[in-house]
Amino acid sequence: MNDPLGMAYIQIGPWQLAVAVVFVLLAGGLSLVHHLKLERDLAIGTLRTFAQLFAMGYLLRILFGLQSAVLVVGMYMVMTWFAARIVKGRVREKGVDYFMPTLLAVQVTFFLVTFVVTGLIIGAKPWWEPQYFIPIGGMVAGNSMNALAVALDRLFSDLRAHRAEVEMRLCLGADRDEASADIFRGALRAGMIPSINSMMGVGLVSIPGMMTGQIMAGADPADAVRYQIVVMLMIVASTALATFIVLHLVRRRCFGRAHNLLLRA
Amino acid sequence: MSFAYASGAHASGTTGNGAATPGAGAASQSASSVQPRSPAGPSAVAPAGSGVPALPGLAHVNLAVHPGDFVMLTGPSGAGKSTLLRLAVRLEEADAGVVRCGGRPVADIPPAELRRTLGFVQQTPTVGAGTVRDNLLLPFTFVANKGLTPPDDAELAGWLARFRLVGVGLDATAAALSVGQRQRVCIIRTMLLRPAALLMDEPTSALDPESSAVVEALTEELNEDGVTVLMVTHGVYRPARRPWRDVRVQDGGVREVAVAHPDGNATGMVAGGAA
Repeated sequence: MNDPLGMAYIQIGPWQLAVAVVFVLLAGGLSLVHHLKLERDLAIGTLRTFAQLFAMGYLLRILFGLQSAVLVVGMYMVMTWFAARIVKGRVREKGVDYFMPTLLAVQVTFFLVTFVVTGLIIGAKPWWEPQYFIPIGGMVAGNSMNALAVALDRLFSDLRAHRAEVEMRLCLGADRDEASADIFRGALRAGMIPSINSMMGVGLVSIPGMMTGQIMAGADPADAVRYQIVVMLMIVASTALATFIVLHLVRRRCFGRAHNLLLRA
Repeated sequence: MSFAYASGAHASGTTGNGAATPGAGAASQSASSVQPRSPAGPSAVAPAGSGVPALPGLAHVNLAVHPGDFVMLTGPSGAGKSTLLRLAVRLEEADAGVVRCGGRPVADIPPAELRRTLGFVQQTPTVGAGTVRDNLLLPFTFVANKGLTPPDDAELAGWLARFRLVGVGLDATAAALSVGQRQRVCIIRTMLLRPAALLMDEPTSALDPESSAVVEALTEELNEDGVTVLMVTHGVYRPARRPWRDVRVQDGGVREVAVAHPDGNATGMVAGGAA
């Protein structure tokens, strides 16, 4: 199972891929009939899926062939930057600049968690071995991204919705951390809960994507399970770490020098 | 506690108010630089040459409040009455101009200390989770107030009685109280920090007439005890037992309309002046 380019599985050719597009056409038909106005998004989404994944596939092939640390670092920068941009696109908060904190949170989390998994748990040599470092890091970044979007959205909306309570505490002598302690906790929980919940249903309903892939590629399911357990646990840690970092950095940006709340209702 | 507002005292230093630096509790000199009204008259005009709007929407404010004053801030909606209060406790920061408290620019006072000195009472009473006691002791849980001795139950009960909250126990759930009761709890909570002044943003607008009357009477009582009061109002209430100043906020400035005494004598005031 350590041979990603091995041919132990049935490959999908261009014609089979074309047949898969029928799935999207089905969804598009539904959208047309019921005036959902999703045709455009479906088309763009399909094109992006093709383009981005093919690009990623070729890039990974080159990356795995060259074994260059510089390229791995470059890939890491690009992936984390996109993750931060996607979070920014989803949260849509204008009052506070949170792009750099988001980027930093993704980068720190990606590096730390992925290093522990590839270097210490899997024992890849070198630890940045692209075949492990990039896919594992991608899962870390992808899940962190979702947690960050949820947590930031919660932080901003709660600060706005509970402005009176925050200001009440500020007026009684609280600093910005004391005044927003409950909201901070709520946002942290919101960021962490989905990954914790996913530990509950795993193996009962769904076979996770990574495990599915390994099994279809011919790996022993028992081996695939061990990988999947590591992945589940690492994702919980990633969402916790990323959310914690970003909330710490962004919360202070929601307040002025006088510990005054800058976000308006 | 005295405090004063002056628009236009930004970097170029157009105000003469900087010379007035009395100690805390001493009367401030009246703010001496009156900004000329802009002939065009929009409300957010910056002082000439600065290119920066002054206090948000309040370009020509000069107002001095003296220890023991009872100031009613009146004027149309959106004129900036609440903003004046919020500027004093730095919930808002002025783009230009300076607000002084006891002679010091508020920007130089640590926020927690400033907010202990100028107690801010919100329009809608806001209580947190827990009992009345939890809420009253909330300020003493904050790091900035850790040097203060929290009041004991006897003192708290005394405050509740004074604020006509006789039926309300310290163990009652604060959120279950009526709005009027909650507002009184909020005022007690603010008073426990022994502020020199109460800044009240329409404190009775959410209250029924009976609760309003209680809050108003108590505010006058506190003023009689020496607490300076600055109250924003939309309503008809004017102090019945205390002398008070009627300051109208309008068109980006303030105008002292009258100084009234409980016996009914009102003295007309000159624009921009101070008692």
